[in-house]
Formats: sequence, structure tokens, C-alpha cells
Amino acid sequence: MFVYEKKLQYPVRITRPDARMAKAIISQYGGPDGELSASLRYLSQRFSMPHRELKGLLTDIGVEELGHLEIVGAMVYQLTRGLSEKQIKQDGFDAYFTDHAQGVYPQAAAGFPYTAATIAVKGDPITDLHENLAAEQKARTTYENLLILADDPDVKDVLRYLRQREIVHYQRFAEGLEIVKDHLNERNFYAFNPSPSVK
Amino acid sequence: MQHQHSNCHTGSVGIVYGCEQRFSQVYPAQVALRSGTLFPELNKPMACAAAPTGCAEPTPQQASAFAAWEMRLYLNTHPNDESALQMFEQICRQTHQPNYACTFAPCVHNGCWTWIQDPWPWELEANEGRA
Repeated sequence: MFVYEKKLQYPVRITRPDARMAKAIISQYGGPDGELSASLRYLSQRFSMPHRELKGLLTDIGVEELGHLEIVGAMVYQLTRGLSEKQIKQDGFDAYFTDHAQGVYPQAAAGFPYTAATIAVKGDPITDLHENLAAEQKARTTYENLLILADDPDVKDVLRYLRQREIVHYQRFAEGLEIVKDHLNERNFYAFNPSPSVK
Repeated sequence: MQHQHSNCHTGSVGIVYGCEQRFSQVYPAQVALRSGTLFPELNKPMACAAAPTGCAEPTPQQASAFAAWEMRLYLNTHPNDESALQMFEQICRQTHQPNYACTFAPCVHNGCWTWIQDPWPWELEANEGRA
């Protein structure tokens, strides 16, 4: 079941519109390494995970990423409020505006719509955890790229927060990997596919 | 110091090792939320964007909800860590508004992190209709 708590995990207060920055930040909404990818990946992987610690971890981190998706959406929304027609054109926002106006649409910065093609759910706990370690690093790097592009302190503050969360998640997945390994033969972690239901 | 999991400095090749975090100190909740983590050892800022900027101040409720959330993630991988369990309960007691981390599914029972207990909703055992 899902519950919605009517608050942001971190406040977003952006008073200067900047459609150019919105076009970049939208990648963390609907892009390959963004929050939608992260949440869908973890919430999907948890079904085939053995070990209750991992089911809990993937559920909780997947839920937190949905909260981050909301934060990124809030950023894009605030960055594209009150734009003049001149700003839309100057910021190169006209293509997006044509199809979405000031709506928040899940796409990458380069313009391609959200796709699950960039996530992996392999059904093997070792593999899935490596996918997640990589995902958190890709997200961290994307936030760093955005921090390089951003100049507004209100924008940078949120990006900095979201970047730090990826590092914490990375640590948790590393611990998750150790938990999986504890249940396997340390001379050969790959002796059998630990997927629980194939006989 | 005894670690519950594999030592990250020795062991078989052909696999990577993650170092287990064992927390000792934590930031106050407001500092934790602004930093993005409760734990100083996980606070790893990017050189050009280290300090919190911007004017939006988190509310005390957001801050304590975040602290509880961070403990929750820690407890998923350290379910028997007594000091973590105590800290989680303490944070939730001090948090006056209901929040997701503290409110949904009583998570501590008899000193155990019961959130992770099987069965999970997608499993057959959770859907067998017994009272």
C-alpha cells in the first residue's frame, strides 16, 4: 500500500525562474539516472529479493526516491513559473513549451521520454545490488553536473541535498551486498543463482 | 572490533566488498537535514558545493522526520543495533507530528526492528486470509 505524506522531504523555494536550468534538471525527473528510474528500479527489484533486510531496504529507498521525484518536480515547476514569451525563447525552452507548456513531463534533458530501458531488474540479488550501486553513482554524478551548471543558491541547495542522499543510499546498498554475501559460500559466491524459487 | 559481516580488507577475490557503517555520533536534526545525512562519516560534499546555501529553512518537523528516516534506513541493514533502535525510538518520541518514518507499521518491538519481518505483502504467506 502507498501513503502520501503532504510535505516535501526538503524544502524547495526558488524565486528566480530559469527555464534553461529547468531543461537540465528535468533529467532527474524523467531521465535515465533520475529519481523515477531509481524508484521504479528498487520497488521492482524487491519482489525477487531474498532476505528481509533487503526487502525492507529496497522498499524504503524506493519510497524515498519517489519523494525525491516530487522534489525535482517541484524544482521544475518553480523554475518555469511566470516566464515571459521572451524568456521562453531566450532560454531555448520553446520546444518543451510546445508540447508541455509549464507542465512537468517525465523526460531526459536531451528530450527523450522516460523509458525503463535504462534500468535493470535481473532477479539475482548480487547483480541487482551492483545495478543499484551503479545507479546511485550515476545519480550522484548527474547532480554534480547540475551543480556545475547552476548558479542560483536556492537551486544549488536542493541539488546538494539530493546528491548527498545518493551517497547514503550507496552505502546502504553496499551493506545490503554484504548481507547477501553472508548467506553465500565465500569461496564461491556464484555457486548457484540464489534466486529463491527456481528449483 | 567485531563486525557482523565480511571484513572488507581481506577475503576472496572475484567480488567487491562494502564496508559496514557503525554509527557513533549523529548531527542534530536540523543540521542533519541541511547536510543531507544524519551521520558525519557519510557527509561527503562536492568541493564546489559544500555548504548549504539558499534561504529555505526546513521546519523542525521536517528535520525530525528526516532524522527518523535516516535511522530507519540504517536499521534495515543493522536490525539488531541496540543503540540505533534506541535512537529511533527517542527521535519518534520527540517528534510531535505523525510522519511516515515513525507512524506506519510499528517498527520496534522487544528491541527488534520489526519493520523488516516476513512475510512481505507480495508473498503468499501474507495473503492467506488468516486473522
